[in-house]
Amino acid sequence: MSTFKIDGTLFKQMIINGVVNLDNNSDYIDELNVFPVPDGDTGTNMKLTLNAGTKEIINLNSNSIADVAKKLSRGLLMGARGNSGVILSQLFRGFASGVEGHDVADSVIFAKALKKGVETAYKAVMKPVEGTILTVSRESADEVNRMATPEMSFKELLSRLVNESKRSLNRTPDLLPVLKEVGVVDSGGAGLVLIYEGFEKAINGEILKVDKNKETKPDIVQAKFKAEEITFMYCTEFIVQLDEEKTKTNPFTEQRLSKFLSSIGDSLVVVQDEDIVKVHVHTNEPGVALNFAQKYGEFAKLKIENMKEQHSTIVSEASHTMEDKKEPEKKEYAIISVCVGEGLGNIFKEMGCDKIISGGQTMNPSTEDFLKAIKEVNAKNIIILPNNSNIIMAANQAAEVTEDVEVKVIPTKTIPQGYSSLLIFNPTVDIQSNYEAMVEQMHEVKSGQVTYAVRDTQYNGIEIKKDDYMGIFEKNIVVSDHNRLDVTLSLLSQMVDEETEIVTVFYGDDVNDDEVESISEYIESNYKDVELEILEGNQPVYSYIIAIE
Amino acid sequence: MIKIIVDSTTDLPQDYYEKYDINSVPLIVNINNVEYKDKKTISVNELYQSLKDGADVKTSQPNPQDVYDAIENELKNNHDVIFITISQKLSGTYQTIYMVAKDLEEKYPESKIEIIDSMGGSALPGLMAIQASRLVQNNLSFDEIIELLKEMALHGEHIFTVENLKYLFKSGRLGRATALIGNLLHVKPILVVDKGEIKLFKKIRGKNKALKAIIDMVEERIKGFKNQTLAIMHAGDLDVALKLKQMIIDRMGKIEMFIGQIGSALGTHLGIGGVGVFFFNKRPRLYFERD
Repeated sequence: MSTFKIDGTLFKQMIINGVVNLDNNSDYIDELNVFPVPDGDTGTNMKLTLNAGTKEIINLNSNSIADVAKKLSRGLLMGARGNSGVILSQLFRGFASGVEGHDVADSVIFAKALKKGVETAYKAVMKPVEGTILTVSRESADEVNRMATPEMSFKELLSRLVNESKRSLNRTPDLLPVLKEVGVVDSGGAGLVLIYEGFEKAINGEILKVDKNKETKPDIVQAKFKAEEITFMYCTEFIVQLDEEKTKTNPFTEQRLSKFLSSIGDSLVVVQDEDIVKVHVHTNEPGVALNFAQKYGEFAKLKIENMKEQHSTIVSEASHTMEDKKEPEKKEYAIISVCVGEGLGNIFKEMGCDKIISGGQTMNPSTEDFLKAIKEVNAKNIIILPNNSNIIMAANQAAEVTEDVEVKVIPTKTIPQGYSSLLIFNPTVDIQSNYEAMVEQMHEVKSGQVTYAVRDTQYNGIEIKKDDYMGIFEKNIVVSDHNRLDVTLSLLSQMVDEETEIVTVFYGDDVNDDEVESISEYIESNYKDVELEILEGNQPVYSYIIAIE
Repeated sequence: MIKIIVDSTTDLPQDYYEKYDINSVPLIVNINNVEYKDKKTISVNELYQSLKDGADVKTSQPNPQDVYDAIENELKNNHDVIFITISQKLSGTYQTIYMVAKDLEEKYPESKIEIIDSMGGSALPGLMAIQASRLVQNNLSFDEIIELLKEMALHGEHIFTVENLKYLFKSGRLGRATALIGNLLHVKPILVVDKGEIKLFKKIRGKNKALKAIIDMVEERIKGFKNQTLAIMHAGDLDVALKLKQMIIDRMGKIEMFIGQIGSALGTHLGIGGVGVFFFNKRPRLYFERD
């Protein structure tokens, strides 16, 4: 039996088929990542985005394609994560407006709605890049629009859609040179093909099931909300004003203080600026920490909090606010930042962030995560630092749907960009001036990263072996070797030039003190005029994140 | 004859006072509870040394008797007086002088006294005083000079950076929140004086970039008025002032400039190591470029 009309129920089944097909293959898509870095997650992002949309329609009681598409579009918008997720949500947003007013769609309406989706997606992306999901969606939509007639069956229409999207996907390496060099097709485009295949199967009466044999990855969404265990009870913060007399007999170095404090706690941040040292540490022995620090000077500021208490206070405060409905007054400014790693989170908080959304390369927060954060910080002016190119669009989407509050997204693509622009935030001027200054600052920073390879490949003439370390300078892999220290020093030497004033190194979870010390010595002896900051980032995957200013 | 007087927060090269016939009334500097007369019984370098030593340094407005004597000295000789002061939002000096002047106006009804709030500090009232002196030399009337000086006060620019915001905060010239954020992590604040008050304009990462940002702002704000004398002022760091001077020449070509040291009264607030550029962002209706 041929299908000539799609109603809400069938469309719902198509979407579910699309999700399942994507789900069963999301690992394959994750592996299409251009860089052999352990952070590919396009498949996961698209899957989670579609899941959020599906949840909205699963219990919807309507047989109208317009109703289903509209509800789906809202769910996708909120759940969008990653660039491919955001583009996907825009494709379906446009599609929804294309079927508006129709309870059922024939081939022509369906094809036109696909085209409307493409137009919406292109508009949403600031600089559309060809050779991506955008191209695949556009070329396949164009093809079915050329062919569609009201008499064409959906079997034929979707067969053409799937075939053309596959052909288009295979052409992506010709459009995007980096794909060709690495020998992959675009991952977002591949995701879209899987969704269309799911559609086609639904039209042919095939209901897809989740592949039980598939090795399931730990659910990222849940891992994110896993409660942290509190090993160290006291959040201890202080500022020491270094004393000349004391430091004469007991010379101060950041390294020494850091070393001692990390022996009695974690989440350490030690920052020195001339004669002031700022410290943040979680420890069970705050007294010991204070005694040690007092050998160098006197305290300008002190704060110790019991984090278990804090936790229970938050719980009880939450229940209080349920009763007390009076809204607290909005503060003038708040800053929301995305980062992963307790250390990085602490550093960003220390430097003035009000809210950290946990996320990064392997965990792209959704539009809804941003919306929640925007509500939580309760401010008139909000600045968001996404710190990852794959998170910017979800942040932008949240900013767009937020009303009554001024939200500006600084399109920071890296932790260094976010960190540096955060440091120049000026609460005494308006948000537009801050936006301009912070965007300008973002471009003043050079970003570097050290991580390991998850597969053998070649990039820019550099031979990369699985498990070797790679130095990534901005978007390019510039060095690879099995020795991590060598990679890091080589990366540094390629980043630092005569204009460099400040080098900041955030070290990850997997590095040891000796290696950090070697890096610090290398910089101090080779670049005498630069200021060096070494900070405990605790970030996973990236052994070092380097900011050069 | 019209005589120009300034308070000692005004910073000009030493020989300019005689050259332009400008008199200066000292503020009071209190170091560890000992009182000094600014730039008279204590030098700028001595004050900086005390700051380095961590001494408790405060400044207060001039002794009214000193103001009285300085003005009356001119009035007695049948001169009129124009007194150019530091911004009244930064110091109570204007109030003291105003009070004394009211007193003297009654005693010398034939003479004219006018107090001009420069809406700035350091070299800015100095640049105004030089111009006032040139206007006097060119025989402009008292009222015309006052009008021109008031116009200049509205267009003064101070673009500067300091090593550390803690002194500004300690002296109450900058809010606590603003001061704290500027201090850590190699952030250099770029400060301006806006309507007589010190404001944090922006923050810059790195000393050299901060100097570049200052030049960018000078270039943007000076607009077409390059035919003026700029002042580059520093607080105990001549090298950085010379560097800034060279950067201005490289960027904007030949411009009249003098380099000076930020004096004790303001130095207390800014701390050691600051540097800035002082100029006007609009050419007054009448301006004499040369003596």
